Amino acid sequence: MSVLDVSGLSIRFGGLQALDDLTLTVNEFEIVGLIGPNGAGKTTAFNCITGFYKADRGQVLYRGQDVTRTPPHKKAAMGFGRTFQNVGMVKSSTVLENLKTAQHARVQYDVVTGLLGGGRVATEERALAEKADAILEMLGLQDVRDLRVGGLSYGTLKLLELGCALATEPDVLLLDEPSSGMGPEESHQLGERLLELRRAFGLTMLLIEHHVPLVLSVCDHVYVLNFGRLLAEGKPTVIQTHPEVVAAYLGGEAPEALAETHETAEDEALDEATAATRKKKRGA
Amino acid sequence: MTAVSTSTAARMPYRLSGAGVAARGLAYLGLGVVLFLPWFTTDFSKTCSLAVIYALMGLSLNIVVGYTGQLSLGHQGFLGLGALVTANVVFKANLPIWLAMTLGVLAAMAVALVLGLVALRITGLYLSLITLVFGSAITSSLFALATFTDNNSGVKIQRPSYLADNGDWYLVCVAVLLAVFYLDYRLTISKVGRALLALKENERVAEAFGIGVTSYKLIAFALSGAIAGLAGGLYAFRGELYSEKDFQDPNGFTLALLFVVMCVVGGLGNRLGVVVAGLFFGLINELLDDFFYAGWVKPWMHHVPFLSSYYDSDVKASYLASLIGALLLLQTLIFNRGGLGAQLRPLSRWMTGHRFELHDESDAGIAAVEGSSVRA
Repeated sequence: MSVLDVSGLSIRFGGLQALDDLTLTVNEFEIVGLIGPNGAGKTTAFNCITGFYKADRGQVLYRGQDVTRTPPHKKAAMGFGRTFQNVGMVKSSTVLENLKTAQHARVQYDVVTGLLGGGRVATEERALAEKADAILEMLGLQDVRDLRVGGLSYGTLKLLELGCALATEPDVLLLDEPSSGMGPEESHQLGERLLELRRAFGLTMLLIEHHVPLVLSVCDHVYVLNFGRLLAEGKPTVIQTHPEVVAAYLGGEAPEALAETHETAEDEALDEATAATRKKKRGA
Repeated sequence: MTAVSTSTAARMPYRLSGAGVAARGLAYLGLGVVLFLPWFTTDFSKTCSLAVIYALMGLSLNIVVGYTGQLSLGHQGFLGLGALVTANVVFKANLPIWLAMTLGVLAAMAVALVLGLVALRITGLYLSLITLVFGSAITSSLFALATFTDNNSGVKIQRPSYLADNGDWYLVCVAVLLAVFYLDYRLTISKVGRALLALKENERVAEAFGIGVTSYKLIAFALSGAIAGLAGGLYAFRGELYSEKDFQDPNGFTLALLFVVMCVVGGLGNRLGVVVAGLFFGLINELLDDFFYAGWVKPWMHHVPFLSSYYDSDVKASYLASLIGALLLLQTLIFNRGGLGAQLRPLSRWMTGHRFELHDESDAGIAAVEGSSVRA
């Protein structure tokens, strides 16, 4: 069963068609990559799916339910967890506070009870802190527990942000460039971590990512956006050598590669020319 | 490496010794005695009641400005509304004092909700402008209606006989302040406070965390209005007279500004600092006048250039208080962004059973972080 079903999603900002008829599907327990050059509309797609932007046209189905017009905080409560391109956390609060804030939708007591206090509130608050500690332990970040977020390094923040997204108890996780600000070794670890999280929490993920090795190692399926349109989709290895994708990333038309893949089946597309491109990209 | 070592030190539980408990107990006792002392006086306790009311206004505005990050320049409107409703209910319907004050709270809360609805659509400078206009408009229109002001002579109300003494009313004010202080503390350690802080910094992040920005902004305004309305009720009974002039411009605007200055000098979002600043500004108005006219000061002051002109003109000491407020505001903004609250923090941490430390590394400048630049 598909968890996310996006069809015909379009949005226009003034003269710019930021998204044009985007259709994509994310199946249960899949990790789906959304890639594309800068300005292709990846983050816009995220914002439309999570409800931060109101799409002009199109539909978003979550487990068969139409959630196109559902506001973002309700989606978060339904099980949409998301991270932001540059860290989305409350910077003046401590790490622990942030992890508690992220569990907002899971808190049972109401506003007035919270103000008056009492045993139930105390028990629940303790549970929030325990959950936060569990997440920190899982990420190996117990040491920053009581530090303010504003003073932490970028790589730590990206990891913590993932922790906050997990704290919302998501069903589907939308990650916007989780590996930005990380070195090759760290992003490799991140890949392992994502696979492990999927296993441990039964998560489905949609991720925007630029780091090709990470996409190759974790994604089951990849969608490529360019100028707001879907350029290609398929298995990561196929996408990697897809001539139009290569062209979109490197610029130009890439006519040779184009000519070659038209004749062969996509699965056998790893001929010498594209293998060379692959090597070059990996090295870069 | 340093992060590791400091955090383990911080997490090592600090066990209070018997002497530590005793010292803190004595400190609380001393604080209680100091708070209780004005009860023995008549005039001074009335002044202190005003100080407590200002502290309440500080807490009220702090919820909107400090926690939610929306500047309101119309809070004298809520204070006045609380006073107006309370006084008129007692005057016309002769209802019991507690019921009248509850109605005052509800009225201020309802109007604050309306202002909150505006705040959903407009933020920043324009919202401040709207609250400013709201404060001026409501005080010069609704407040001045002849039916509400007993034909412009002011509504006289009396406290019930068991609270007739100024000292007793002062204790009522203190009790209310302590209760609101506790509620405010609960607010910050419950999901409500966390939600407000998150939406103050970044509404998108708040929404991604599942926080309904709309409802929490309204909750903030409603709570703030309710506290201001309560302060208004206390205010009306303090002077046993409701006069619209107290809240009308220029007095009203001076008040509104003073409340904001109180919040900033006290430290935005810092409950203790705001209360201390509120008490200070409430006291200083009256005490300065007392000081200038004190028998031992007046002859001496005549020789001081500049200050001697104080007796010749009709410049009130309260204007001098405004000047002091301005200077304090400047020093806060330039040298000490955390406000009084940050200065008092070692003490307040000690009082709540922690080790006395001048520097708390997890607490490096609340006010230093001004919003954030998260794009979505």
